[in-house]
Amino acid sequence: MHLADIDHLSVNGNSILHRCKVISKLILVLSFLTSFLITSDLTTLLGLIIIQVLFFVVGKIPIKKVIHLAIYPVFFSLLFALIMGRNEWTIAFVIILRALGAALTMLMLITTTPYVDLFATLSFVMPSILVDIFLVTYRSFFILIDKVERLLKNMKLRGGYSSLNVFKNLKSIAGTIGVLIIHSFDMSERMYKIYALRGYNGKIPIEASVFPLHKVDYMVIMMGILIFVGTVIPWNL
Amino acid sequence: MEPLIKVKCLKHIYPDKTEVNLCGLDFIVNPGERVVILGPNGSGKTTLLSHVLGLLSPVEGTVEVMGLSPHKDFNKIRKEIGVIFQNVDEQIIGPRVFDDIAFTLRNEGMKKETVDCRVNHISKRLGISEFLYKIPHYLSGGQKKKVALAGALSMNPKLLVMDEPFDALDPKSKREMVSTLNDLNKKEGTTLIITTHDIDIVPSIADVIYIVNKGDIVMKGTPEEVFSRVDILKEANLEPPVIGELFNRLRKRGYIVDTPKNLEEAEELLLMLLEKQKVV
Repeated sequence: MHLADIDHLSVNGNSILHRCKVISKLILVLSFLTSFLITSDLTTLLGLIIIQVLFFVVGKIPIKKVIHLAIYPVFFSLLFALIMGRNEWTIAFVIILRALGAALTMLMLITTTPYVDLFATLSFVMPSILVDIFLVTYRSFFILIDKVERLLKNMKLRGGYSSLNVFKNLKSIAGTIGVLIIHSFDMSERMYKIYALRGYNGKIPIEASVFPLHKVDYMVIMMGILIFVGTVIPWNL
Repeated sequence: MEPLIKVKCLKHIYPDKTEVNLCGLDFIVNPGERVVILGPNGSGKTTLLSHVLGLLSPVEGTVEVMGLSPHKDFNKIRKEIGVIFQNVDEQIIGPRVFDDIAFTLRNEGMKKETVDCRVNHISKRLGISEFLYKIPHYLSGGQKKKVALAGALSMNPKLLVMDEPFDALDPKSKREMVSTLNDLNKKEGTTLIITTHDIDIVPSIADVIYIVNKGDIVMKGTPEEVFSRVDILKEANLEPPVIGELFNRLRKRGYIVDTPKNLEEAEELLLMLLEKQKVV
């Protein structure tokens, strides 16, 4: 599952979640994340993850395709859980489930929202320079990925890769990274000149459509509030 | 008529101390002309374009675009020039095709309605309306070139500068691109400056050709004039277009024929020759 696949899912997906405005999805995400953070109850955490999975079903997101992306944070939380939960296994589980829940929440957001819409909406609260950095980095990433793929193919074709010789592979990969760094410097210089020619004046202008909200947006916001309230109330009782 | 561009004996030194001396003939472009710059790799074509665009400042010589120094008056010149670079991937800034075409317009502070209207007009003209809301990195090479062209045309530039615009295009896309550019030149009077290695396409897109070799502008002329000088072309590692070469050979054999600009003209000329033979 690569960036391109996530883009494909977010741009071409057709579900209630895809049709929602970014702002309502951000509220849902925020309530999910807060709920995952504030609860230490295993049953509640499991319940939240089940609801999360239901959102994946509603969003028509192929969970099998994206689940491995959630493994990275789970893996790192595992190390933390081993240290923290030496005496009590429930603490370890809570840490792991929180990481899994947060990862699934973010996956739900990025697979149902094109990155442009996401950054456009975030540009209301984030400094424009940060939004520009994200947008340009994202774009450059794809150009550089192409370059890396070509370099790696070349490396293999020219005998720079051997499945048994780790040192040789490391040396070749180090060389490849070096070429890539030089290339990215050149590229950034060229890109800057082009941006200047095209009238870049310190802000990439993108349009964000926040309003009007539709029925489906109110439903998603209501779900977010219910999830948050549902997590908080038993906790306070 | 006052030339749009005047470049005289240009000298540029790159940071690695590589020197490019574009001396020899002056590079002059008149309004409404379609100019093609031909030359081998490393001959100085891109350096010349970079100076015209104001991206580089000459160490020696003069560069004038619309009577101004493009490097000093970069912001005045910029609005009048549209550019397509060889690697369009690096040129596409907008996260969606629409945003990219609208990039310069929005930066100029135009109203949303004007931006929408212009973007829709250009995208219709170039046949890219159907993917206006797509993310650029999933488009084909030809589609990306069209998006870059749409972005370059958004400000209705007087001058369109293109570095290898036909590179990596399939024959159909090349034909479409040539037709679009010719249409633009004819209807809007846009001046075109193109560098290319695709010599077969040159007769159909050029009024004037400059040959650049080893840092010198060695020849200027119409396609007929330039392609009849096979010696100069070969010296610059260039081959005349197949049709031009065929008619050169016919001339050498004693047939009195002009050099045709395109396949249709070549067909007509050959038919005329065959007709004469028929009569004889």
